[in-house]
Amino acid sequence: MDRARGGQPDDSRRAFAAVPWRELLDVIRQGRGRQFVRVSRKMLNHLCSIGLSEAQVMLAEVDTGPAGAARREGRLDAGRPGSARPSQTKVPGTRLPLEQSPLMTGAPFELAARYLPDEEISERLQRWLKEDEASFFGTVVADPRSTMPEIAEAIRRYNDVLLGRSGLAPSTLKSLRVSLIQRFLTEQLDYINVAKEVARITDFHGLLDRVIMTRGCYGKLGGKAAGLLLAGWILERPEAAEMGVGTVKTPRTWYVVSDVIMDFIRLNDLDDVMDQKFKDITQVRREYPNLVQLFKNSPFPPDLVEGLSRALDYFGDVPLIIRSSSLLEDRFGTAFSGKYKSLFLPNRGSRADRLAALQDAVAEVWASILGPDPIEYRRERGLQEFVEEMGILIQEVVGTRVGRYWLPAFAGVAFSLNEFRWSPRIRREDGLLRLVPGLGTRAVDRVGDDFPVLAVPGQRGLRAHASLQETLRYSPRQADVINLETASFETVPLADLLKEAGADYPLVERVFSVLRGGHLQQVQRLMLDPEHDDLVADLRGLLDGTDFVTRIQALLKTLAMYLQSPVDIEFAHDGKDFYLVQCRPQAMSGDNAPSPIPHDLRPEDVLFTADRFVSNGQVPDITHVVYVVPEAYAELPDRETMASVGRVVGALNGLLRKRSFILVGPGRWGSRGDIKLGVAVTYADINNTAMLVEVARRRGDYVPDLSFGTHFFQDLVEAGIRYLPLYPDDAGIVFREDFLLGAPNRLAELLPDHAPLEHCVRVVDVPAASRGRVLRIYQNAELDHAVAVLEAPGDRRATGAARATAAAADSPLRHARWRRQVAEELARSLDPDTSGVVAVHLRGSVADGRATAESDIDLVVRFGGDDGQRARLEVWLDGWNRALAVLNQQSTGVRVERLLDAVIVAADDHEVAGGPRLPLKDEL
Amino acid sequence: MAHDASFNPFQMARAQFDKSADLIGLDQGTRELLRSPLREFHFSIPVRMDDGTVKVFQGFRVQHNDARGPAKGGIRFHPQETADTVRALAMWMTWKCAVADIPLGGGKGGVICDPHHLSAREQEAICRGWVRQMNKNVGPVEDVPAPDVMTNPQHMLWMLDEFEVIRGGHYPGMITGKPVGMGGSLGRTEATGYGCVYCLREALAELGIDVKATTASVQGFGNVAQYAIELYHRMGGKTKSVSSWNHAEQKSVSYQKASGIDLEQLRGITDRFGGIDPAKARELGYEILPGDAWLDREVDILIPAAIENQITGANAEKISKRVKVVVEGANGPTTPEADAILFKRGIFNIPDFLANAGGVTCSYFEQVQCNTNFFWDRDDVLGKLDAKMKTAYHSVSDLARKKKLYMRDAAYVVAVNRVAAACRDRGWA
Repeated sequence: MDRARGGQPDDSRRAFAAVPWRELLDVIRQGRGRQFVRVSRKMLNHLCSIGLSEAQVMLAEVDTGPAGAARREGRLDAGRPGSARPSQTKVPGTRLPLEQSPLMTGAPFELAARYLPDEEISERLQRWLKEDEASFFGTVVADPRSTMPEIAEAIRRYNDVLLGRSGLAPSTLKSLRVSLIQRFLTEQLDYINVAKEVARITDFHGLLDRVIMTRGCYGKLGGKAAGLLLAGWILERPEAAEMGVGTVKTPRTWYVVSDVIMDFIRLNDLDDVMDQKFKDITQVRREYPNLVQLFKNSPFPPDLVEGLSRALDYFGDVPLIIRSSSLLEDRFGTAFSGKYKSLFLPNRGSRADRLAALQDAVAEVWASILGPDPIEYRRERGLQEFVEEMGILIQEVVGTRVGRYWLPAFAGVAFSLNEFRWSPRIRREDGLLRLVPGLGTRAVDRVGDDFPVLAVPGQRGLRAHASLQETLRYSPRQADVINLETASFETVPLADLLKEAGADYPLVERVFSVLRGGHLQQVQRLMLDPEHDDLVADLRGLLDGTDFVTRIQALLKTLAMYLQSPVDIEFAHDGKDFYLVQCRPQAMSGDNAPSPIPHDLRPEDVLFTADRFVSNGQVPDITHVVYVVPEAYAELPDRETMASVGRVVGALNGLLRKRSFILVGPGRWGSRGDIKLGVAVTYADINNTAMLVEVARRRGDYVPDLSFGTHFFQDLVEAGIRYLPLYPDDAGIVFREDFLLGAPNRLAELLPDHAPLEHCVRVVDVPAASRGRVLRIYQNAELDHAVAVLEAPGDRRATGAARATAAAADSPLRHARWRRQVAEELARSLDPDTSGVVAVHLRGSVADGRATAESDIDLVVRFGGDDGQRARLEVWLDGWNRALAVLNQQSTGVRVERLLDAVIVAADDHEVAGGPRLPLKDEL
Repeated sequence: MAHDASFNPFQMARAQFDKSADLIGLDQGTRELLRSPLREFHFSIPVRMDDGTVKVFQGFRVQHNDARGPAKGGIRFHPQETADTVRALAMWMTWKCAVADIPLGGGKGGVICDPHHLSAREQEAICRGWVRQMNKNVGPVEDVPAPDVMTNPQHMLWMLDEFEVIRGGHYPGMITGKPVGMGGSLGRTEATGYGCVYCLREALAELGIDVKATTASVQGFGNVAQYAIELYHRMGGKTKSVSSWNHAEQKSVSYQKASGIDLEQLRGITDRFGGIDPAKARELGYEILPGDAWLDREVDILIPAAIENQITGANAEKISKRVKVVVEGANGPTTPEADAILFKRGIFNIPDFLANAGGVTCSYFEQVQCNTNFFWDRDDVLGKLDAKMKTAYHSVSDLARKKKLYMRDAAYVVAVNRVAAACRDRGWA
């Protein structure tokens, strides 16, 4: 707690009205003895610090430590408290009975009255009282045993203390904020470091009104909630306005605390279902639908029902989305995106119907913890043994009513880093926007036969599509909406939607252009004839005609700056306002993770390298390379033959296994007219390749332009086909054409009719040509480097699973996981026959998964042996403790004196609460 | 680009010309004149890019021959245009205008750039820069550009605007491909498709076949195909099958109805690119067949209206014995080997640059309307188109018949002859 110092700033002084301090002191002395003692001590400390010698004397009387005794015994200079050296005082000081302590008599204040003005005493007293209350509040918040309702109550009670700061020191406020963040949102340090600067305590007060909790719950709000709240706070900062973000709203949201699900499970004796995560995946998949039904049919705790009911009153009958907010989701470094369910709720009908539907949806979202995808995902990352708590977000769907539908004018996602560049003019930092009319679900996921509109925030002028044909081909034709009449989520063709809604479509002139006479023109709302006008959702009115792109760029930059990480956001616009719906660090996993570039490779293992225009990712396990030899292609005798190369490639595309081969060729794949520039293929001829590579060889001074896949760019993006340009003549670049030319050519075998083209089209069977190895291409956009390596098939270097484990290794859960593993090891090495140990139970923070680097491992050991065994057991446990402390310090830098806290109890003592039982030696 | 002679479109165009010149028996002087473009312009267009830097783009215009009238031809934006390609294309424009018997010469031009990598402002700067360099040599009575690869009506309008600022005045006839309402002509959408069928009608009449008794199979269901079918049906014909590209499955599919397809019905289930929805087509009772089934249907008329190289040496024999006429709605759908087979089998072929001359004719009409500042209604345009296509057709088919020439050769001869005559009349050769 801060000590009051002389020279407080004037403004805080003004915060306190002049209150007669004696009366106040009396009140406190009567009712709150401990608090009286505390403020007395504070006054005494203050008087000492301003040099009052009488205060020093009084302090000596109070001081109950060794220095005080020494002083009392006259061994110390009365004016310098605490100057005794510790080694001289080997006996504890005598403790003065409290009643005699000057602190109980109010003596410090009497002393103060002789030297300080009344206003100053009053002001200091009030400030200390408030700090004292605040510290109590802080204690409640920081105590892990406080339940959520207790904390909520504490916040409400001390709201007037906290509101307007009331003269509390900034560091006090900060530590209160940190406590609240840790308690409600997350203990992850990265998050806290950012949140503590932008969150205000008053934010929590408002938030609490919308949190649904049950009586004994003490969980958190979950990752998605944390992400969105943090983004909201960042955007309220004046810096955000300065950066040109403009007005950004967040949808109205209610929260269900993460461990309410545990109440639900306990209430319905559903504990066994948590064992699903250990079952075989096919069994999980089979049983999942039953579990969903089980969840839906089980009653909810009454507190929850009441809370949901209040939530419905708050929202009214606006459509809602129920989203998961698990403790594992969306936190810095973990990307669980899309693994748990989100459900749309049209929220129509009678109140009873709506409540029932809401409960149903909550049950289903909870049940999604037990789905095969999440379970598998967690298994891959070594996270499956954790008790999965899941918060729920109940959020209004951003949108407006359009006829019988509910939808936003447009929605989409935006990324700080662009991994899909169609032009060398686009840099990664320019970002990427994917926009669709209607609900953003069609921008978030890749939909098979429809495309979002792409734009690059950092390069407003560049468009993905140069010609009208391309624009028409790649503009969205369908929209996801909520049908309010049938109360369902639907995908409707835009043409139909527009015929019904016409000019009522929100922001119709921004979302659509009208195709007239082979030319896309601006929509004039008044002149719109939806029956006959051919409307194209190209969003040009928005992109070119407003400052939307600039503002999105400012938004991305602001969030990234605060979060110290590139971000991935979802947004929607209802025709009036722009809403941020989700914000998280840009997922650096899966397709978009930068691949670590292997070093120390033998030259003969490297097939090619690249250091320009590299996007993140990894192309694993390539067994075939289809190489169209540039020189040979250029020398083909006529157009007809050149065209046939395209057909050969198409045929190979049909024969080779999907995503097991790459295409390498000259210049511009997809050329149609000038096929000397590149092989004439359409998307159909290449859609099974894993990667499209274009080779640009220098001719004199001149290096040809590559296409960057523009001819079918969006098809490539949506299919996840990677693109890489190669510049073999650049310094330091490797291109082992000799390998490709020297390897046996399988073309004649696969397509005998096209054997005459053997010199031009080479099909390289990689394992056959490299003694059983496969080709892997590692790409890292941060380093702008890519390398294609021949490797043994089993030797997956830093691939998905390993990377994920590495990522998980950096997550805070590793402390809990390591401790759990240690506990399991320890238990397993105990032989029940020889050690006398009957059972070992794990409890405390390691059992719940909330252990940190400073936590110990709490074990309860049930022992039924003799004294000799007991003595050996204690020595043995002590040995473990010492070793673990050293290991913990080595790996985390944190020194914990007792890492192992094992309590030995009698074998038949079942009163001591123990958590999960750990298997002993030879037990299953 | 490579210097090799292995594949050079200009050499190919010259070879075609030489063949026609031989047939005509052109003198050496005229040959030399016509084998090469009359004039070429190569110039630099400096553009201040959005990031403030200046980039210099290479532009060019080839005017092959304008003895019959102002040169006509598109402007293309392409990252790797070559002079020889442009020369070949300019030459083909000369022949195309000549065979359609419109009073225009041939030209082609462009800028070496890729619009995918350029913002709208930069593209506008390039368009205006092109006109700044060329304005002394283009115009309604000099050379009339049009859209082409990767250029569109917006580019044409920017160029028009720049020209008018420089010359001071309104000269909408200096460029075609403009949107209706900004100087474009009505009827443009239907022109190419209708043009094919005007030729077809004449051909059938000559062959003594009643169009109402005929059936057709069409490859493609885009703009040209749809309007060709529209007119053909209006004349009484019946289309039994149509093939279209299915983007989702990345292959072409044929749709057949023995009683004849319902054009409006199919249009209702087609996307903007001529892609017919197979599921809906099946529901409407169409038989779904593989894409290349269109070629071997038992019909009287084949209309390839999709892409090039579709009737080849390999499949020309599969054409049903019943087929009497092939109308080339697309460019280059028939390979030279296939030509030989068709000729041998006595199948009448209306070559592409005659059959799809409806487009360039309508372009000419756009010019005319612009120059007179008076715009015709759609029926007027199409009526005039009909008349023009009819005469164009007959000039070619008369020659083919009289001199027992393959129609493609006859068309070239007619074209080259007209140009040569104009050069002679002017005293050039």
